[in-house]
Amino acid sequence: MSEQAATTDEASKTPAPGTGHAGQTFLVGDEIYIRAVETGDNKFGVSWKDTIFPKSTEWYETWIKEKMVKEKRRATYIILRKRDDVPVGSIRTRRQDPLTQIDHWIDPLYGERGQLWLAEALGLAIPWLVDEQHRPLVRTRVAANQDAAITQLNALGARQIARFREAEKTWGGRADVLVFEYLNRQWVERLGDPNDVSFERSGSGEGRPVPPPIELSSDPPLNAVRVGPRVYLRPFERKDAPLAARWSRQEPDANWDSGRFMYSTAGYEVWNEGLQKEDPQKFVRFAACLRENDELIGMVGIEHIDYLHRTAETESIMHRADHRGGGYGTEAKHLLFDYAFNTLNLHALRSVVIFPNTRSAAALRKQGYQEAGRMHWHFPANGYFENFICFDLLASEWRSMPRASMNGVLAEEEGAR
Amino acid sequence: MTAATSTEDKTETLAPGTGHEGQTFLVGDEVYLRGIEVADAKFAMSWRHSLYPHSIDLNEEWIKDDLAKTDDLWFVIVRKVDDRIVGSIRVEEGGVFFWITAVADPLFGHSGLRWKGEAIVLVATWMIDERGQTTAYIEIPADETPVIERIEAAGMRNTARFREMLERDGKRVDRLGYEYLNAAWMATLGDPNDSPIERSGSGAPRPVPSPVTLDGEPPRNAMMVGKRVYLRPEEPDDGVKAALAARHETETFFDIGRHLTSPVMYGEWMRDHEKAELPSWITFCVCLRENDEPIGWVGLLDIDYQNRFAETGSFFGTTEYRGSGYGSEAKQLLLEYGFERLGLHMVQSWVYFPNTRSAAALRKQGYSECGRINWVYSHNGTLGNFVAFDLLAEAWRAMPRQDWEPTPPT
Repeated sequence: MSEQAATTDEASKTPAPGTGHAGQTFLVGDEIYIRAVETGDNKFGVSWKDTIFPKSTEWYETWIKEKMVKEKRRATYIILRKRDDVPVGSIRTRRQDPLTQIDHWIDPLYGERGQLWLAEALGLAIPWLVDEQHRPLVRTRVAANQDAAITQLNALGARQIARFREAEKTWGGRADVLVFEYLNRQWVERLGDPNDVSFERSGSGEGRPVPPPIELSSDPPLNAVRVGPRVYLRPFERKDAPLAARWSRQEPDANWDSGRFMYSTAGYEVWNEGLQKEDPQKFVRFAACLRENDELIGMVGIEHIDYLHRTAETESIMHRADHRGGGYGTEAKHLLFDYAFNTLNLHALRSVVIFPNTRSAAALRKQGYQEAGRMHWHFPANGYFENFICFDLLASEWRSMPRASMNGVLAEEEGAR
Repeated sequence: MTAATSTEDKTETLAPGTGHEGQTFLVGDEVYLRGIEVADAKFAMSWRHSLYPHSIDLNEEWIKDDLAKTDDLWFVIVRKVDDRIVGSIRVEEGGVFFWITAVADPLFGHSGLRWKGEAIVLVATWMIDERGQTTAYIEIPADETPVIERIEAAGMRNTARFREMLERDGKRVDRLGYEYLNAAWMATLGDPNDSPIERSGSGAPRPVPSPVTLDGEPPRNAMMVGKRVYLRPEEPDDGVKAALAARHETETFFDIGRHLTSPVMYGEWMRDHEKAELPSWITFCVCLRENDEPIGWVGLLDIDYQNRFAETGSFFGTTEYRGSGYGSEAKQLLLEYGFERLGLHMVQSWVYFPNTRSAAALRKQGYSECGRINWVYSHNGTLGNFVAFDLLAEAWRAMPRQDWEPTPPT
């Protein structure tokens, strides 16, 4: 191709400013429009890519050409201003049917104006995904101070279903995070409104005291990271994998998650070691062991660690059915909280459980977690889409919970660690 | 062969409590120090300086692949009674300056801190008194009383206090700098604490420029915008300009003499920083709003997200824009980014003694002097010092906001 041809080609690709939306039949609003990412958008990366860390235009170019193009079940769309075609933000979708999750970003330097553009973009994108593309639902999160977006979501008929307290670091402070959902009307007609599905509770729901920090009167167990009265946490080891694989085959209870899972020794080992190889680790997992005989009883972990917002989600799995219900899991969980709040210095934790798993929900309440709302239609379950109940726990709340020994087991020496 | 191996194993495994026998140095009352062995991977959570859990197998690989290549000295702290590993101590050799870091397994509580103190004293006295080096320096959390008592008793001297640098159990804790100096060098060079910090300028802080509300368009790719300057990500092209500016440098006091930079190295350095998902260095190019001309850089260095602190740095290569307030305006944008967007709790900064101009600028920007770090570099036939500054987010937020006119460049 001659140089002249290339130039002409280039010129035909670059419309006059303000004409970029001409001819586009959907996702065009009053002030902004939405289109897919183009190579030249790297020059405006700071305005649309969802990071507060500075990256060069070269970095954005590489991201578009090498990372974005390989993404599965994800899409990135640019929000552009109609009058001059300047990119000002983005909408990112993650699809895992039935759910489509929307993440969004608007260049913070546009202040209030930017928030209005974001609101307009959400107003275009959400009905497009659900009403035109027939997806069952869209879920999105906004900070509680994003007034324009909240007004728009309410006007659309989206509804707030959960509030995670102080979960977002905003410019100059912290804000609650509100979760909104927009449901497909035809699916609501078919399945009923998920808000009408009541969540059954078990247990008293009262918080129990936290086992107090202990000053060990003897040496800590080998490679322990946290030690409680009966349980300690240590890193996952390769020798744990065959045990977890065996116990997964012997699982008697199918209600923890969407049925039972079966692990392979190799898969479990590679996955857990893979988490340990990350730096910083975004999913920190510990093996919970009995102090009396060093036996592994389960794993507890903190996943989706966000070091900027200082939040994460906790998980736990008590592999050994014969050690459930004796308070070992709760003891391990409090050791995990101690690590999350006092070592990683996280500000808030969250946790979710499926509706039928009332036992885990009761355990979370006992551990100090507060109910934060619900998230609907997460995966298919027996002619219906399964719902989650959500919980959150602030570091300040956990610190102010009473400290006491559990189950009559006394700490060796109670006192400050 | 099998028999031979097992005999060898037997000779290597000593009876508990005899591990230090015959060792002639780095043996204390309760602990001794030795080099790291692959088998120490079994105890890695007690001694590896890591926030995170790692399996024994991964620790073995790390000892063989990474630790073996480090230039630092790294010893395990071993309890004499039973040869149990309880921590580790590390020395970064910097020519004349030796930076020590030590860790004791927190599960040993008060005893662990006592052992940590003993290990620090063993290493500091060995480096300085036996090996004749000049200075050993360590920073200790201010709540580690048993460590502080032990090292002060051994003659280590507190020279700096970085306020609220650490976060533990939801509370902020100061970090203290301690030095141990060689007596013979002290006789030759004099006590560095006697050399005064020369000051220039009034030292009075100036108001922080009022936040700018943008009516028009922000400059393309800007991340923080002030009245006259803005911060944007660095671009590979900036390296070419920085290299040229370095060759045109007229002053020799910012660092110890001038430096030449290569645009190739600059580009590589920039790419390294932006690659990380959670970058430990965040640097910005400072540009003039009127014409987008780059005039320097500002950055947050060695960011600690766990404790939420960082070191600040800045350099203005374009000499005509120095001394006229552009640098301070850019620094205030960096501080706003660090405190309000990243959520840092404090920042620190170190300045060479002869660079009174940068020290004066830091004072104007709201920083407080928080001590000194002595004998770090060679200068004028002696060893030179750093003056240390810190600034808490809370103090920065309480500073008055008011616009002031920078002096236009001449």
